[in-house]
Amino acid sequence: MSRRYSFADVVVVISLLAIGIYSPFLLPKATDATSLVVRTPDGAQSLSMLRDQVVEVEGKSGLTVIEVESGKARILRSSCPNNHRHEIEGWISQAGAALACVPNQIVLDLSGDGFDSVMR
Amino acid sequence: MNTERMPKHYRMVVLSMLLALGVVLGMIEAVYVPPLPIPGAKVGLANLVSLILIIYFPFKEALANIVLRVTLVSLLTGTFLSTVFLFSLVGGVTAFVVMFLVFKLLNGPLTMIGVSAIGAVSHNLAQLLVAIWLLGSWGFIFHLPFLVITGVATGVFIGYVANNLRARKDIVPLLEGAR
Repeated sequence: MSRRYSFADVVVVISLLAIGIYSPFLLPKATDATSLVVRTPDGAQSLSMLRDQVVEVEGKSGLTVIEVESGKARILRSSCPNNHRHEIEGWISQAGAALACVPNQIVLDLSGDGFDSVMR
Repeated sequence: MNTERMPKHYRMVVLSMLLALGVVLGMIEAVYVPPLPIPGAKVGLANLVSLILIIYFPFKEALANIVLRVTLVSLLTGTFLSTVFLFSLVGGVTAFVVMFLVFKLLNGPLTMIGVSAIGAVSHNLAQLLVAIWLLGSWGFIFHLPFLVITGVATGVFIGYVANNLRARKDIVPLLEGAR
């Protein structure tokens, strides 16, 4: 007693995909970020998003390198055990978006004018 | 076939083998498979074992098996009791509980593809909530669309494998005998 797939499977998969595709419209409206707040176990520091730069910060288990380039930010590399495996990564550019290197306990928050009002 | 009830040891042996299989799949994933961009969000090879447990075993045995698997894999990869471990545990247990309920309620209309897709998406969403709570930033919500879509893709793949496994006349009786 076994089927390859059923009609209900197709319905479930299409509805989930629809939620995934529709969900960006439910998120706060995107505005370009102007600053990047880097939180480490030792404290927080703020970087400008308007200037391209590569910054090293000390995390719980080693260095994490952050890159800012033409208004976008990412974790360039990290000494996280297992490397990129435990990072919330990719390029981010919208105010309000965040990245993290979990083992290093480093969190990057983008902020910009107008985002606070969205969150309220 | 297997109308006679198997001795209790048989069930224990099958559960141990499934645990070993889960640990191996978890390790393969941790070492060789390229990760997706959120902690713990991955192809979910070990989720195949969760699906087998859901089909053929009661809730308690299956849950214990999954908690043991996550613990053993984290010990082997050196992340035991770290934040990464918490991500894996919450993701694995949430996906299991959700899939267990979906399977019990909708086993008729759905095949393992639907069950697994729902499980994978709930795994990713649970980890997103852990990230927001633990790392104290709502910003991770921006990864939501990506997480839902990758969850569906990986869930369908694992569900397809589970459907094929369920059609195997040489394997299924071994599992049913342990029920």
